[in-house]
Amino acid sequence: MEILRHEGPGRLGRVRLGDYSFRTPALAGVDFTLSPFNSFFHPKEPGEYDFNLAPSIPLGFYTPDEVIQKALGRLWSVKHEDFNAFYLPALRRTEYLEEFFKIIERYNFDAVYLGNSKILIKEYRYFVRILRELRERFPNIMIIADLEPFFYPLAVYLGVDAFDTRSLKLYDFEGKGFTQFSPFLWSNEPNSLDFAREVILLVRKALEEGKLRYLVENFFPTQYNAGILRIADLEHPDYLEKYTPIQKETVYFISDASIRRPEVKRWHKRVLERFTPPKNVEILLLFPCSAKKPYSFSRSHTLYRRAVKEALGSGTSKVHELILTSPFGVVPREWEWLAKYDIVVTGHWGEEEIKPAAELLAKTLEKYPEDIPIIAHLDEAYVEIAKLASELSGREIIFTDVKNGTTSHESLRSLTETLREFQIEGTKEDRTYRYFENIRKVFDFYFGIGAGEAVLPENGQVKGSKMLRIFVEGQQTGTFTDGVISVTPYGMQRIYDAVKSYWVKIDFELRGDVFAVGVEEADPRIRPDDIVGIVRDEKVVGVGKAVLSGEEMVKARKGVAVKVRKRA
Amino acid sequence: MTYWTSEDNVAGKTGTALFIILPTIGCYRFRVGEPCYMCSYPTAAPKVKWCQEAIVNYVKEALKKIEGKKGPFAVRMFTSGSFLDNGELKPETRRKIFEVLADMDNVEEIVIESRSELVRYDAVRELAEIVPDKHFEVAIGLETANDDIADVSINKGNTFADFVKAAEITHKAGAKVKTYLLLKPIFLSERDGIEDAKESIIKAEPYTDTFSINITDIQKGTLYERLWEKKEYRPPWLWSAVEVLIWAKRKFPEKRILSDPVGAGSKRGPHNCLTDYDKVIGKAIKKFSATQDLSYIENLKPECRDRWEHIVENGLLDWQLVTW
Repeated sequence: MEILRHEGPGRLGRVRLGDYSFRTPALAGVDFTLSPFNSFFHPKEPGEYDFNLAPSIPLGFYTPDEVIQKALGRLWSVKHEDFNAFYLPALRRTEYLEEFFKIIERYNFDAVYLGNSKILIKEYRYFVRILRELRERFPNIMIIADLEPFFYPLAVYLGVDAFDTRSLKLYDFEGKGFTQFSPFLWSNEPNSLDFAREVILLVRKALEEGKLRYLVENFFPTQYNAGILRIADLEHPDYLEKYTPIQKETVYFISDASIRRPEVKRWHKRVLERFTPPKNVEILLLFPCSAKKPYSFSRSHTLYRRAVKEALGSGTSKVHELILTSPFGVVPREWEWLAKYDIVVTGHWGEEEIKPAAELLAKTLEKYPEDIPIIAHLDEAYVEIAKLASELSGREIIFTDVKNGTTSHESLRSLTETLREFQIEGTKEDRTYRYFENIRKVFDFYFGIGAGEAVLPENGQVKGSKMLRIFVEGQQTGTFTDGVISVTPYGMQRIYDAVKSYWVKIDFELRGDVFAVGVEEADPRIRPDDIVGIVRDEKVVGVGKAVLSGEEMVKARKGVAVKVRKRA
Repeated sequence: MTYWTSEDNVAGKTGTALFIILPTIGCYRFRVGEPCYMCSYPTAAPKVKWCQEAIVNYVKEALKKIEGKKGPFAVRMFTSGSFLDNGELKPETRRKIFEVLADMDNVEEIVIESRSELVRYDAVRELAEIVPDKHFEVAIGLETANDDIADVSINKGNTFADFVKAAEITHKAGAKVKTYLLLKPIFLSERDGIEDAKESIIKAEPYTDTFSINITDIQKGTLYERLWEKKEYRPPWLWSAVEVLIWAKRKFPEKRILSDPVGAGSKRGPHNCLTDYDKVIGKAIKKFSATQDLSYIENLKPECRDRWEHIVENGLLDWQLVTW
């Protein structure tokens, strides 16, 4: 199958079988036909099914070594060439999975049926781990599992593409009708297949709209749903993150699991790795976040800035601001365009929110020269974060006198007065420098430190007012519109030369899109929806949008890897 | 004391069978750490080794239960191992037991059990000669005619060819062959379990006088129990047993087709939907077994049969049957 779109390891895909094609996530028996289990002991020839399972031995999840070994030895004798689907028994003794993977690899199966899935779902760690191993190794294989519809969103999010529906009928026989709250509430009307269809359509819709994670977080009908997501978030954050597209839309942090979203982990990592303060900073300010995004557009931040300006005048261009927030932790002012999120604000902060924010802040403070004053204009839990960060980093933080909220008359006056004690002045050059820096930092966010400098060096030019066009020596490198950027092939060449990032190497003449088969190598930092440079012989020959993650486009054999936007 | 009687088929007629579990040290495969995966019978073997004389006395004591009573009787002697294993029973002990039986006119059928590789011509011959007028059967645990299943799902330790050899020896030595088949070993779907039983019957039929369909029940401490506890294995449906028995009797009407559905209608035994009717079906199977009259199992109420049909038709595996 080809992958059309990702959300986490979950994919919207297309499977082609001759002239028939269908979209995934899909249902066996609805979108495609699947042979019954084919026993190694009494094997059947392939039949008139879209997917024919090769003869296999349905070992149980808890099968002991001795028996697994007996079975494995036999499976190699199967004539796998005649079949396009492989029955993989999920095993607790995971060391044997490698042997099964070898068979899958060797015979190039189109689909893998994940045996024991109903047992596996109750083994949080193994469920995530086995799925991950399969998914990472075989990006183009359609993974089929047999699970109840209330596991569909979670299973798809973690990498399952299709579900067997034949065992669902057992619920009809038992007179249990699925509801939104099954397995706790059942209706009396048998409806298993209809319900499965509805859920799969919902999952597909969620994938199309980038709302799958949201759906997963709002679908905890059993302890297994919650447990598996928690294990995936905490023990496999890299697995989830690497397939998570670059965030474009607002993320809604709605559940307890939201603060562990891959976007949050990614943000923290980027602040640590890709943010560097401007060089002319003489004062660092810490502000609380605002409900309105970007923060600058909010009433509170307008008031803060007025107070700062009043105190420092031209020196404002030597001030740098960090905004504290949950769960992103720290947002440098230049990145406020990129921090699109919405969270429940109640004033009650959890330990899981405060500590990571403080740790991130502590590490961020270390990026600033040691002699610059840090002034915090904060209240409530934000103060707690700053104090903890001060302790962790050993950096002193001056707190303004906040009363009745940070925007009260007296609080703002305290901010102004505190700042007045510092005599700093900025020049016209400082202002231009910071204007450039605002743009550069966003490029750094997407391509790594140094990318901003590459597209907009000191001798660069910025033209326009709303949509800013960026030039180097008369050649356009990109655009910047309220934090939304584009890069020209020339700009991408400069980024490639300077920081060697976000490249996809090919060895043919670029005409249309880049297909996965044509990808020689790719930067493992690439995420779906990233802007990437297509490089041939060290020359950027085009710029496009990644469909797959970097690692994946090297492994994959089918489908589009990069949608090409502009050729050089 | 482990002996009991129950209504059963005795050399083709309805009669009573006396079952005696001989207190030998049990199956050697079990003792060397290679038990059959479904079997824990040898755990019931005595911890202290009985002397051979005591075993003979034990048989005599058990036989009192039918002494002087009106037959026909069958005497079925199990050892949690092999009757023909010299390590369990000395040749002399076997002869003594048979001599006692030879004197009992109401005993028309004698059955002993043995693993294939322990069936030797001389051993069978000398016993057959002691009871020339009785229906003397050596029961051999074939379990399946499929060597792969015998190894992977059962750990039987011998093959179909071993069985054929043992059966031929038995016939040549003047005894009859009873073939044990296991309905639904692990790693087989309900559908494959039925298919395997039927195929095994077809393959073993030329060497067999009586088939005994042993429907899997979950014995303590076995691999089967471990997988069953985790819901990865389900004992077969009674409907599957009924299906196989009807099919076998129709196909081979001249053969005895026996089955004692141990634990029928319980979670550990063969069951359908665990309703009271499961027990009715269990009894019907026993009745068929005793009488060989198919009408006992042909006209059962189709309770829970649609579910079973769906599972068999779609080849569902046991883990797929887990529901919330």
